[in-house]
Amino acid sequence: MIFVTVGSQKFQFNRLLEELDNLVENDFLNSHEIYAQTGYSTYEPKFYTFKKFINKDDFLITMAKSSIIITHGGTGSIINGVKMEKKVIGVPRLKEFGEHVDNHQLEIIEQFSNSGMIYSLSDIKNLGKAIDKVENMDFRKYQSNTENIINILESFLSHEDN
Amino acid sequence: MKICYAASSGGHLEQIMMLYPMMEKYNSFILTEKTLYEFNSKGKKLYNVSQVNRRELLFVFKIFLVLIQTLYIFFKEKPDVVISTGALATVPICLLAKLFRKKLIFIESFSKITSPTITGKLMYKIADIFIIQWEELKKFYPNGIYGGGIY
Repeated sequence: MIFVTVGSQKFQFNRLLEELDNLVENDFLNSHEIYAQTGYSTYEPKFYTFKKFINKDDFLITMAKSSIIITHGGTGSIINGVKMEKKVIGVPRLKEFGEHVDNHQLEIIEQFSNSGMIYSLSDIKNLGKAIDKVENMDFRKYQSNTENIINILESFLSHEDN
Repeated sequence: MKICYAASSGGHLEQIMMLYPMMEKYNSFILTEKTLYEFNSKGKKLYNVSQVNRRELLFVFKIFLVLIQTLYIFFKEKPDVVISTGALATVPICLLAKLFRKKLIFIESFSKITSPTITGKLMYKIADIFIIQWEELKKFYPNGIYGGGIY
């Protein structure tokens, strides 16, 4: 299954949802293999199942069941996909299309793809090719530093306590 | 010691929730933005303020509203420490923490790598410790402590 997520920020990401409809219409994808979480997008997919918002638990379950994750450049979605060792395709929300306040999603996606953890897609028209490509690509795992940060915080707080 | 974990919605909130092991250890509560989708705070006390972004028409009104909401939460809970992962909606609680001489910890967002955030630049000046998740940000925050990715 392909899980598409465009996050929860108050901006549409119609471009991506429309292109997926195109791919189904042109018989590149089967409608039943796509599930999308469309957030604040105003475009409603015609050929595949979607829900505007799904809660975190369902989000993770759906992701676990999928093989390919197509996501906007939100760190939460990318990281969850990478941690589950899925094939992640990152598509940045861009300011020029009214999809975000700035273009920082380009940065985050570039950083992840430079590290070999995800596939970065800049031109939406190549989405079909990207889906084909990632099937045979191997991606690198993510090194978590959660514990390290908690150690820094706790050591600061314990000094403050004394 | 009571700790307030403050974060806007989306990725900011995801990041602060990575500190869940700390939330279990200390007296903790979460402050975030109200959104249309359900957020599971894993049993931790949760306060919502209005969702705000700097590009919207009612920005000035909204941020003032957030400030009023935050004042109520701050004086009700009286946290000793505020930890924020940004962004805008957490600025009022960070400023209140500073004003009342509480400890302020700011963690610059994972999603900004080659340039600082507006909230980050402000918080760098006032936070007791400032953590960065990318080495690249040392240029802008020379005294920032590099912690690596929080996820």
